[in-house]
Amino acid sequence: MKLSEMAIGKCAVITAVKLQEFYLNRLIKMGVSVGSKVKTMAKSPFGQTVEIKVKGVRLALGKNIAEGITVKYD
Amino acid sequence: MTKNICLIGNPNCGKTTLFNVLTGSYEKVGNRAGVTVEEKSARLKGQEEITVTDLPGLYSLSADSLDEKAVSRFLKSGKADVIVSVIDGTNPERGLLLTAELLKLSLPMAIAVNFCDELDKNGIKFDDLKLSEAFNVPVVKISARKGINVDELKKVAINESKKPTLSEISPEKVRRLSASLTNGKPTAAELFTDKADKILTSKIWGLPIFFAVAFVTFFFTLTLGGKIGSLLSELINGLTDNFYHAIVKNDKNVWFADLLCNAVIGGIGNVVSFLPQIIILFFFLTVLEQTGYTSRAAFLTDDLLSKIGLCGKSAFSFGLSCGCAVSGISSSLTIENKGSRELTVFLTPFMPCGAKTAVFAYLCGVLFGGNALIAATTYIVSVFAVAICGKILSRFKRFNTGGGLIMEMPTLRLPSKRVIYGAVRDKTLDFLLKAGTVIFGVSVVLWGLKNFGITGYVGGNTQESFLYYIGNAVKYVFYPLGFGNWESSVAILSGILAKEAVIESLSAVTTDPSSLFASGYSAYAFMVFILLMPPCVAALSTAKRELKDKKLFWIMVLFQTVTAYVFALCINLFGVLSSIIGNFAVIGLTLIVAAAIISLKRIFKPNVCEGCKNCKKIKGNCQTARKAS
Repeated sequence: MKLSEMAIGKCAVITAVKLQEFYLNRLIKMGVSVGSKVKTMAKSPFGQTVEIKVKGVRLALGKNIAEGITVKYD
Repeated sequence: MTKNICLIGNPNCGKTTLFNVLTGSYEKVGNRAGVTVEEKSARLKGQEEITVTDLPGLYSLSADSLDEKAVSRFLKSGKADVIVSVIDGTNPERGLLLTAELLKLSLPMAIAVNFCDELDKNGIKFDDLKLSEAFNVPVVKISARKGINVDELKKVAINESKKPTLSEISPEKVRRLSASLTNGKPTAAELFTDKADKILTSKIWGLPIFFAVAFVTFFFTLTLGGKIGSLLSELINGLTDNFYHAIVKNDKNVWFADLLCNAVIGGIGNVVSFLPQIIILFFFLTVLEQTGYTSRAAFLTDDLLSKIGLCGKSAFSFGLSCGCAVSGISSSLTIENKGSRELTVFLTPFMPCGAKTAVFAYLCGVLFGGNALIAATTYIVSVFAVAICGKILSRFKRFNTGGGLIMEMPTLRLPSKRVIYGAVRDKTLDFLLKAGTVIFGVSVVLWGLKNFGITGYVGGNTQESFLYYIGNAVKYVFYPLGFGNWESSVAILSGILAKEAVIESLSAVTTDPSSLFASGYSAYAFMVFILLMPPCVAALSTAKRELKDKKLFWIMVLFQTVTAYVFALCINLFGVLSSIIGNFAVIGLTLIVAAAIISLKRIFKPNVCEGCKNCKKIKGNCQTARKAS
């Protein structure tokens, strides 16, 4: 399922990332890549932005970014 | 021999604090457009021949954003003699990935592991020996905030840093190494952040808390700042009066006294009177940023703002612009998305900056009998203008490069007093510098234009001055707005140089400002025009540097001018109509027209297929539907 569809508080593993190269590179630099474990911490009031924790770092991801990342529950 | 020590590391790793401690000076307004990497340098305290340069925080050298490109260029240019790679000891992995990239540069290097005070407090041991062996460079555990071991770092950086023997360490190896350096226990700060974030970013409490924080900030800024400001203003006025009488003896020296007291000191006095507001606002915003709250604010507002082409990070820029547009525009450098960044620069000057609020306070005093509520409505108008213009501009492809927020939300930490003091001090000094140069210049120029005409010195006979001629030529433009007179024109023109000058010009050309306006609505239209028109030259030059594209810059100026004109026009038209048919009739008319526009839009909007939200094709003609059937 997409990262944006994950339930809050659950952990999952990233299985695929389908985004423009610019965003792809930025994500890799911040520790988000295929195989990384992520935990969804919060979703913004209107549901478009999601806050995840990966490798001990909290990241806020916009909706279109979160929709480009596929995850699988642990 | 001068050595240049460069601090490099991820954002939020404490580099700025370390820089402050090492140099005893404060970082210049960091993200100001045009500030080159070299400018964030200072001499090492106690060893003047050595300089320390603070490089922008970045995640990797492989250039993606403007900051990263600049740092890459700087490091390869040979201006760096020693590199100190600063990492967050509580979360070493990401920092070390950058450190591994630095090895390729083959420059003498040392690693500083920051936040060791947090590690100690939580009983977490950091194996610096292991790290040192793995990278084969010296490692020093420090706490920049508490100043622990910084002297040791100085010594090591200068004397013991060495060229790395390895040219690279694979990311896999870095990850395994990082995992083995600490016992991986989360610090108290981490746990606190987890708990606090549950409320700060919660669907229920998140936005209310944000608005509460914004309210408190503006409350203190405008009331406390306003009160101190008016006290200062009175003080300066009193002094100027005494000064004036001291200089003027038997009608001699009148022009000199006029120049010095009214123009120069008066002009500078205007600036000083809203300085308290700016200081308080910058203080609050710096605290919010240092604790890490602004990233939560960006998280909460990203949804709403992306509907008008902006992004969550813009929120902070808009906040800063309420103090000074120069700060607001500069801070938008941190927005990676080009479209959002440019749109932020376009829209952020609509916010009432310190200068504008001072102008409004003055105008309310002389035009509306001191009704402060009217000045307060300018905030509502600016938000409205931002929303509408954002919606319109984001239809253009240039500004609609698509969201894509990727933002780190740092651990919530108590702000460092020295960094706050330094940041506020720097922003204030920057501001005063502007006052001393631009405002001074403007005051003298205005004085000159007012007191000189074709015949030479005209003194009090303003009708023969250059100012009068200029105003008269331009005034026709403002007829539809309700203030088609040379005095208002002059005031607005001077507002291009500096908004504060509006007060000066008005008081210089007339003793009864209310006579300039046909009605209360025209006066309000005048205020709104000043609110939305292009900002002062200082902000304009900052915008020009940031936008980089000359054409885009002039489009911005045109856009802001047109917006100001349209808004002012609507207000004046409203006023004119209501004087003919009364207020209620006009409001009724406006609602009818608005309803008509909305229903017309509905009639002509093509039917969007319900199955898919994005293709916008007419129902039945949708590709997805066809594929599915």
